[in-house]
Formats: sequence, structure tokens, C-alpha cells
Amino acid sequence: MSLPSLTTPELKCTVTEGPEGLTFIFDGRAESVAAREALRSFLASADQTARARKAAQVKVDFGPLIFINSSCFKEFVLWLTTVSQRPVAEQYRLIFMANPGVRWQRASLHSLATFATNLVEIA
Amino acid sequence: MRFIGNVRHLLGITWPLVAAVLCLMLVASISADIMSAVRAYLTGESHWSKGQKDAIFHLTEYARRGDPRSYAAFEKALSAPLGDRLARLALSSPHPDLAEARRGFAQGLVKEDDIDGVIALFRWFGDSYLMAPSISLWTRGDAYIAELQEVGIGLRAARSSTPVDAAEVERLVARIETINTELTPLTVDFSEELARAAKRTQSLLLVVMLIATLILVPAGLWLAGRFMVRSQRLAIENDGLKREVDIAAKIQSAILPNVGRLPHLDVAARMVPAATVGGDCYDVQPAPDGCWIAIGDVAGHGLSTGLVTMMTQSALATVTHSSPQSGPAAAVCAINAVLYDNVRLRMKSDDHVTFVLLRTFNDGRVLYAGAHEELVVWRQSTGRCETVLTRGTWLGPRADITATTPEAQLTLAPGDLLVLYTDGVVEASNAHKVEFGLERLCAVIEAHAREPVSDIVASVFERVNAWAPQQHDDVTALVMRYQPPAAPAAVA
Repeated sequence: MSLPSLTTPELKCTVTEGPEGLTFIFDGRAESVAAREALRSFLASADQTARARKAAQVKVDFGPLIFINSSCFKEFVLWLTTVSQRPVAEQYRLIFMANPGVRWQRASLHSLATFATNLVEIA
Repeated sequence: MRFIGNVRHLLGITWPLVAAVLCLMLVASISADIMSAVRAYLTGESHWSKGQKDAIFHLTEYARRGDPRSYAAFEKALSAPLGDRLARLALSSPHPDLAEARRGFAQGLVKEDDIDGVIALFRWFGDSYLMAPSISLWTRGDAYIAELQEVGIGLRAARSSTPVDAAEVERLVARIETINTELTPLTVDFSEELARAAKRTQSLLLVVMLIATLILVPAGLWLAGRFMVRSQRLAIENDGLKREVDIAAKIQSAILPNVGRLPHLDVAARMVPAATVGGDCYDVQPAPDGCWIAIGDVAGHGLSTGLVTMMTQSALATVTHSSPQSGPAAAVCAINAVLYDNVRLRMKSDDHVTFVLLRTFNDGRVLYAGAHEELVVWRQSTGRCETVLTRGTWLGPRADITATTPEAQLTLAPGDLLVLYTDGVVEASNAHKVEFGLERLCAVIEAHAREPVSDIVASVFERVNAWAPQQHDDVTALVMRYQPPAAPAAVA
């Protein structure tokens, strides 16, 4: 299964696969309806890829993601909810790498982690 | 944009009539082309008739006098009927040779512009009752033309022999007279038949136009009428829907608290939704020894998120009224349980609410719980703002959030301000996609902190609107000043 890709004029995600597993690096802004649709489809593919590779963990680097509005952020909540509702053997850990200098990350990532404290780590 | 919208609406209703008119114009255009081709046939026939008459005259003259100029005139006169014959044979072939037909009609003195129409008419209607009789007469006439050509060749040979073959010349002159006698009525018939064909064609086209008009215009009117009725129905439905949305917006505005002077607190707030119905909410409710203050934001905006905000406010009112002594964390968990049940289980929606609930006390203590934007506290003692993170979780996605809803406390000194706001304030972006941000918000508050709280709210909105004239999200701000009554003066 090939790695998923996300490239829109305002938002892109670089996906790499290394010894530590999959890493998704989000870059740009996620605020339009088009970005939300693209993000939804991308995260569904990302989840499928992680499951197909039986990943133990997935890193999500939000560092270069300057802005995400609440509608787009809902897609990450949905992703996390989907993973957390699976049997434990089919779950994988999500490590969100944050940039504390970015306001939205300071305000939102902690709350995201509370959805599945056993699955989420904010680095 | 409004003009384009009106044109679209008009076209949406009238397009069947426009289509009918266009179809009629197409039929009229085709009719005009056909009639033009018919007229070209009539002209061509006159050239054909004149050519054969002149050819007989000049050949007879040549037979009598032997003048080569008469023979040349005969050949020239015969050229037009021979060209028409060439074209007819080219078009009558199972595999019509259009180039040959064009050359033939040009030789037959048909105008260049009319040739394609004449060819088309022959191919489309050559076998029909309109054209078949004319073409039959034309074919018979061409047989005489061919014979006349042969007679001319024979006559030239007889005239060129030495001595002149007078007997052969006599025989051929007699033959010319026979041809002339037989061809003359045929030519008249050909001419009359073509005139009749023209009349029949004209009548047929009139009938076609009449039928097309009788079908297309009523059909267009009927369809346009249907579209108009549907459009009117949609307009009525839209009006109804708009009224309902307006009512929802009024309900949402109506349930916002009338803030002002509370014991120990001056409060001012404003919410401006991006859509008619917003996804932001706030509330202020008196409680024993203080009050409840809440602010929240449902992801997105519009009618569905507006409904969730109203649910949130209703649940808040129920919880705080029924359990006035409970802490904010317990109240937030209870509100979450209601939202999870309504939004997640019943509505099957993935909406979530960022929400923080504060319980203020008259002694300046503020307990709070939930997850929302950072709280801003302006300290009178320093004249600066402090920001406080809210370390809870969002409402809606999970049934039980007790474990992730801590309760925290801060303390206000007399004169301190506490500012609550939604992301529409700090995420308002200018043309360069630069957010208004928390720092600018703090700067506005610090600049206006000693003014009445309603003026501080007005200043925040003024600066946000100036920063981002185009509003994309609901914007809410609530400012409260802790202002305990002055202690009574000691009695001497």
C-alpha cells in the first residue's frame, strides 16, 4: 500500500516512513471547506495505511501548520475517536509534535490529548 | 453579482421560450436556404432553356451558311445545358462526385454562392415528390441535348467534307427540327414543373413553420409556466425557511443574558455571529455568593451549530439552577453528558463544543473548568494582562469526561478584569492572513482597562473589525471587572 498524500494550495502533508514508523508533517493553513474535505479523505487514508502496516505509533508533526480552524480540527478529533474506539490490539499511539509558539496548538492540543490519554502523547 | 443572479433567475424561468424561439429561428433559416436553392434552380433552368434554344438557332444557321462563327456560338450556347447534365449525372451516381457537380453547375451558369444549396436540394429532395418530376423532365431534356451535340459534330463533318455532303446536311437539319419540335414542349413542362416544385416547397415549408410554431410556442409557454410555478413555490419555501432561521437567530439572541451590574461584578458582553445563527454562546447567571459565567463555541457556524449552542445553554441553565452548590467541573461533566446524549447519540453528529465554565465568588475567587481559549486576566496592580490556560476537554465526543475535567482556581483583586473570548477574536485574519492574536487582544485591554467594561468590549470589536473587515467566524467577547462594594466606614 503506497503512502497517502495531501497537497492543496493552502495545506500539504509530507509523509515519511522510517524505523520509528510513519511521520506526517503538516504544513500551511487549514481553514477552507476544500482543505477540510481533503483533510478528511487524507486522514482516512492515513488511518488505513497505519493499520495495513500494523503501526505501533504514528507521529504527527504540527510544527509548520500555522493555522487550523475548528472545523478542520474536528477531522483530527474524528481520527482520534475512530482509533480509540477500536479493540486495543488494533490501536496505535499518536504522538503530536507541537510548536508551543503557535497559539492554536497551545490551546487545542492538550484538549485533543484528553480524548485518549492512553493513546496520545504531546511532544 | 445581483445582476448576474437576476439574469440567471430570469433565464431559469424563460429558457423553454428562448429555446422555442431559437428552434423557430433555425427552421426559418433552413427554410430560407431551401427557398434560395429553389430560386437558383429556376434561374439555372432558364439558362438551360435559353442555352438549348440558342444552340438550335446557331446550329441551324451553321447548317445553312457554314459559318464557323455560328458553330462556335452553338458550342458556347450548348455549354450551359451540358454543364447541368454533367452535374446531374455526378449527383445521380451511387457515390456522388460533389467536385464534379460543382464544376458542372458552374458551367451551367449557377452562381457560385448558390451551388452548395442547389447540390444539397438535389441530394435531400431529388427522390421526393417535390423534385423528382422536375429531374425526370430534366433527364429527358438532357437526352435531346446529347443528341443535339452529336448532330452538331455530324453537321460539322458533313460541312467540312469536299464537296459538302448536302444530303447529310439536309438529313441533320431535319433532325434538328425534330429535336426542336420535341424539346420545346419538354422545356415548357420542365419550367412549369420547376415552378410547381417551388410552390410546393414553399407551401411545405409554411406548413412546417406552422406546425413548429404550434408545437414549440405552447410547449415553451407550458414549460416556462411550470418553471415559474416551481420558482414561486421555492421562493415561498425559502421565505418560510428564512423566517424560521430568523426566528432561530432571535431565540439565540433572546436567551443571551442581560449583563450589567451584578453584586461584585461589572459585566459586558457582545456576540456577532458570522452566519444568521452563530455557533458561539455565553451566559451569566447569578448564584449564591457570586455567579456562573460561561463561554463556548461549537465548531463551525450556521443553523445546526446554533442548535447545539442553544442545547449547551439550556443544559447549563438546568445544571446551575438544579445544583447551585456544585463546582464548575461537576457542572461541565453534567452538561457534557447531555450534549453527548443529544449530539452524538441522537443527532449522530460529530460536533464538539469548546467550553469553559467559571464560578465566581464575592470574595474574588474564581473556580473554572473546561477547555476553551486562554483566559485573560488584567491586573490593576501591574496594569498588565496575564493569560491562563484551561486544561480540560471539549464537550460532546465522549460520554464521561470526569477524569479529564480538572477544576482550577484563580483570584481576582478589586479592579481586576477577567476577559473571555472566542477564537473569532484571536483568529480574525487580515488580508495578509495574519491573525489578530492574543498579544493584540491583551494590548487593547491594557490600553482601555480603566474604562467601563462596555467600552472595553466596544474597543475590542472595533480593533478586531479594523484588523479583519471581512468576518469569517462568530466573534464573542465578555469582559468583567471585579468590583466589591466598599467596606462600610468604621463607626467611632
